[in-house]
Amino acid sequence: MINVSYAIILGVLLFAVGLYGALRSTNAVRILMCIEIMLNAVNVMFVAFARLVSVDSVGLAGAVHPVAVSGQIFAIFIMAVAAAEAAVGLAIILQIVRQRGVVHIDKINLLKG
Amino acid sequence: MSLLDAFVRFLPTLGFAMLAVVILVAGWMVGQVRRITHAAFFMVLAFTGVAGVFVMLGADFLAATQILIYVGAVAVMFLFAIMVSDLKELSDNPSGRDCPGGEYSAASGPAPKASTAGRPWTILAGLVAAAFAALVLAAIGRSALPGYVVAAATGAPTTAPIGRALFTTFLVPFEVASIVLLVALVGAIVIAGREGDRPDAAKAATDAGQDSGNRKGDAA
Repeated sequence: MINVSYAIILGVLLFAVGLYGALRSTNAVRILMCIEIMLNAVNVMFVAFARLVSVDSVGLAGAVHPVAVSGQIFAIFIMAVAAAEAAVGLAIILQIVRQRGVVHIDKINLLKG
Repeated sequence: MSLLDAFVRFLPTLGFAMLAVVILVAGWMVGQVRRITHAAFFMVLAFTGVAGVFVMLGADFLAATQILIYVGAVAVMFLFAIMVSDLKELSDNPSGRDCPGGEYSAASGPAPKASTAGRPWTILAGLVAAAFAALVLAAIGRSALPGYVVAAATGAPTTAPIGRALFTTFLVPFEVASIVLLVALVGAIVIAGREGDRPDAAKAATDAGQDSGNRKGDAA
């Protein structure tokens, strides 16, 4: 199949793209989306490294070993946390929009001295 | 014939490369397109492509989970938030840096109505992201990874080993994750359901449907 390092490189590039988008945009919802992209990039790298671990520890492809899927389980936990983070973040943004009428983070500056 | 064989052996890599290009372009567009709704749909495209990458890496259960959770739940939640709160109009405000000033000025002179105040910040963001990618890629290049060619994916389903590991080795994290999800659910409802004090009749009328249940709960 494919070389696993390709997937790792894809994860790095996707994380960098998401990081650029998150740093560049001023729309709070867009920043949340870019954070989701970054979490997805981390998931890709977890699954790729899980593939390496499974080959390393089992040797025989297809054999089932608890270690073999641990990277994928980490990806599942990241998905759960990402879903929770998106829900709470969107609720906070919704409330800010409702109270102040802005979604641009430059204009959310109540704590500015 | 050997050429054909080489091509057939090259096909998965070619498919992965195309998938990677789609994912990266979609992820790039999430940060660049002007309308927030289009950004949400580009996010859906990137998520779907990542699910394809999971399939190519032999993680079939994770690919299905990716489609269900990200495309089915997270993206729909984003679209609902955009729809409910008029974020669409707010995102189209051309005074912010959110309009595509970066690539417009790079490609075809000054952007139509983009403010130039955000240019240094955009360049700084690009530098940070590029530095990060270069650093990690250099670290990967120095490691033993590039010479590591993994054997073919077996096609064996990973659902059973994941389930077994999730309820034995990772039982405590699993329960903690369920508590986190419950707290996030309750917290999101409480935060989003609170009544705003902005005197906006139209918005109040729009939100009345969603808020009536929570207001009753608060009054009780």
